Amino acid sequence: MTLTNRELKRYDRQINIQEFGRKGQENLKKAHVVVAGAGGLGSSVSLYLTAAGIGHISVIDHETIELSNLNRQILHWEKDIGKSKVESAVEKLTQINSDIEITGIKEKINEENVLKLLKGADAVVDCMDNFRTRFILNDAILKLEIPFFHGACYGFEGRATTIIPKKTPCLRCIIPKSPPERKVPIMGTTPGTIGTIQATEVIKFFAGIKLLLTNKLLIYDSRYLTYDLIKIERNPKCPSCGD
Amino acid sequence: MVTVRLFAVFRDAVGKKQVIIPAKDIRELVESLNSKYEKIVPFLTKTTDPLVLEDTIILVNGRSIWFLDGLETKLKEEDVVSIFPPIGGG
Repeated sequence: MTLTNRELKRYDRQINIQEFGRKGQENLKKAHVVVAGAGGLGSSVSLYLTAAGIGHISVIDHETIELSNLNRQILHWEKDIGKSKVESAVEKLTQINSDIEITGIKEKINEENVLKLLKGADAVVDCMDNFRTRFILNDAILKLEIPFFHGACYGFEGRATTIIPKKTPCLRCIIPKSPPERKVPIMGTTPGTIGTIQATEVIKFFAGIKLLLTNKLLIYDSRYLTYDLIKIERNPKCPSCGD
Repeated sequence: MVTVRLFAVFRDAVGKKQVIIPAKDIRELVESLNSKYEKIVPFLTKTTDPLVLEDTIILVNGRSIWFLDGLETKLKEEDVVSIFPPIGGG
């Protein structure tokens, strides 16, 4: 997929990165990425993927914007309160980059619709706020055999890992059972940091840059300003991806 | 001796991100942490029921004890145990 003169100019700074180059940009242009959730993580993930030039981004969310979202969901502004998150996301993202395709899907992800919602996607970014839906997405990407970029936050802490079906542990290998659902406190910058890491992983994956966050769980703690990597392994007995 | 890497509330409770302690299995390791570090007790339950540990992720060399032998998972020299809570916000 060739790049237009406008695209060559727009993405000039990143095309100039040796290991990324023109080929990397062309690969981003070919990609269709689903951003599952347009909240805190979804805000930073979709902003960076849009600016980076992913060819087609689909944003899925069923919620409407509330005042209490605004400390972290930087895609949404005061004027958007009461509007659907997807509508607000598409409005902002198309203004950032009109050279790419952005689709907003206002639906709640469940077992019945997940495969339909992910149809045609080359990758899914986990920007959910609950484990129940994360596990639904986890099982779907295993079926579809597409990568899944996991991120999660709590307070000042964040986690991220890149899941490649059959090659790396899936989410359930690490977190076998959904912990109880509860209202999660979050400092606004935490999903900003974790979302940026997830978006970087998506870009690296499509650009063919190795050294992904695979078989590793990143644990970020902004109170101590530490980033730790834990080696993780596939569980042969995993109910989702086990042998 | 087993290396225990602690994160989030577990790190706060112990005051260190890593401790090296002797333990022949996860049960002994949990008991040892509970007796040594009072503040960890509310997070690392003393229960013998592994299901109660569902809100705590314990990995032995990268594998969840859920899929190994739970609290009975054997430990050997130089094993690395990671302990952290699951988090799901976004």
